[in-house]
Amino acid sequence: MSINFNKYHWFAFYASQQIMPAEIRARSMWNTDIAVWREENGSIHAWKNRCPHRGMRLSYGFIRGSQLVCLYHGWNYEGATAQCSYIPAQPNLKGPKTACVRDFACFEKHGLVWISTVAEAEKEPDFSDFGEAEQTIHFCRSIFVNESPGLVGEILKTSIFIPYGNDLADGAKLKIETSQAEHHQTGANYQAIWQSGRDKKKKTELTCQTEVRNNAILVNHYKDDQGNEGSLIFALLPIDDKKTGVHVLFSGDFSSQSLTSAKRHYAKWAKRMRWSIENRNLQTDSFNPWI
Amino acid sequence: MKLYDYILSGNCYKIRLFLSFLDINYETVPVDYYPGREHRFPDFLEINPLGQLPVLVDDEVKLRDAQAILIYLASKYDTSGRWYPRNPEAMGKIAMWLSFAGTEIMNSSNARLHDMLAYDLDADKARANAHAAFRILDDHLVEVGFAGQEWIAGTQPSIADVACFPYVALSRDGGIEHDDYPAIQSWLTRIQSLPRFIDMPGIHFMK
Ligand SMILES: N[C@@H](CCC(=O)N[C@@H](CS)C(=O)NCC(=O)O)C(=O)O
Ligand code: FES
Repeated sequence: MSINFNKYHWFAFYASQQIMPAEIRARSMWNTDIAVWREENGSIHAWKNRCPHRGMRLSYGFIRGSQLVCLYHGWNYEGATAQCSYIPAQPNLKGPKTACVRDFACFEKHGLVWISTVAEAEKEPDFSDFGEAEQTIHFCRSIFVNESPGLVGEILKTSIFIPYGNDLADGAKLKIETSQAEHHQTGANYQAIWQSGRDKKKKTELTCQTEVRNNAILVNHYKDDQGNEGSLIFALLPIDDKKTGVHVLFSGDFSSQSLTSAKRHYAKWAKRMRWSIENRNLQTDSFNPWI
Repeated sequence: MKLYDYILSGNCYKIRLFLSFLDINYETVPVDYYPGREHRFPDFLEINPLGQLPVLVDDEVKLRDAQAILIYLASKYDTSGRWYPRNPEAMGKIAMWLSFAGTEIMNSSNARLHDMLAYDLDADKARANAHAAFRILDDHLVEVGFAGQEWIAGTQPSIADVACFPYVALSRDGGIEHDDYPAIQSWLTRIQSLPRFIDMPGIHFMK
């Protein structure tokens, strides 16, 4: 299964928790600048980030109730219709029909706002195999890598992941027992033996399988010999041909304290992953972002 | 208390904003920074030989450098003690981020000076350096946020937040967008929502 950055698909655009009611945020997807915002009542919209009046970035504006107000000349746009509803300089005029913002299909699932820029993609992706249905999916962070989506996807697909809970202290050792040769078609599929950095006698055996779901979501499912099981999930966002967004999520059973540590663990990895992709010229083959 | 001030200066705004948070009355002395370049002439150079704004004069005390002025004001006038807590860890962390505000984040100011006032600077380099600084700040806010910490140097807003805020918020004037820094964006909103927050051209109120 390969990663398919086909424009006709849905992509994870933003973390839901980072857009509060009456907030507006923006970034690009396939070079298209998109504003995503919430009405005061919480409904979410994804619009082309360009005011039909004079082209101002709508994300510089603000939200009043169910309306987005452009910062430049204050034109109001109604959330449900994306239609101009009020022009402050001409209070008696109804907004012209042509002053309508291009809106994109969007919905929220698994803590992310999903967007499609193509009208035909009205059907929501199938998330039934996204993770372990009965487990909660936790959002760690979104991170941006200055490299092309294709390359970032390929590197992540074939990477080795160490789930939270293993001892990453100095001196830890990772031994990959089996890894499939046809990696590039299937994603990584490996067994790893993880030797603790603190307690040299302690070894954990992991079985991991990375799969591509819904085209641009990588799910690394792991099982260890202590009975721990879970998934690490990367939802990829193609921003342009030089930049890729990676939303890092994970599933599994965690107490609230270990949840914080797990987030730290994956965030630390995410930063090292970003560095290793952006600095490929500085590395030796043995570089492992986990250690 | 007298503040030598220029309305479009983010460094001067650090002081106006903090004086507002502390609810302190003061007098401003407007300096014709642009186009007059008054800060480069002998009368002003007597006040600050570096030829920079802001300068604060409070009775016998005369201070330049926004970060130094924030330390002075918090130490002298913040009765709550929360803006500059007197414990070694907090003071060390705050000093670290004050320095970051005065150096790395100033790359954003340089890009803005180039774009708005046509300063002869390497704007692309300034933008790249500003992005590197914003990435560091965003990573930091993400990581402390996991444990519920919402401010740069602790669980309360401090002068480190005040010092870092203006040139992060104003960066778009210099062509530096915030799109890649969601944790920074949420932090900006939190500052803009604090009681007695004030605006300046380019930084508006939340509501
Ligand atoms: N380190 C000083 C820097 C102050 C500074 O650069 N101020 C600008 C105005 S925002 C200035 O006066 N620049 C002088 C010039 O560009 O000629 C501080 O933090 O206050
Ligand atoms: S550009 Fe948006 S109202 Fe004029």
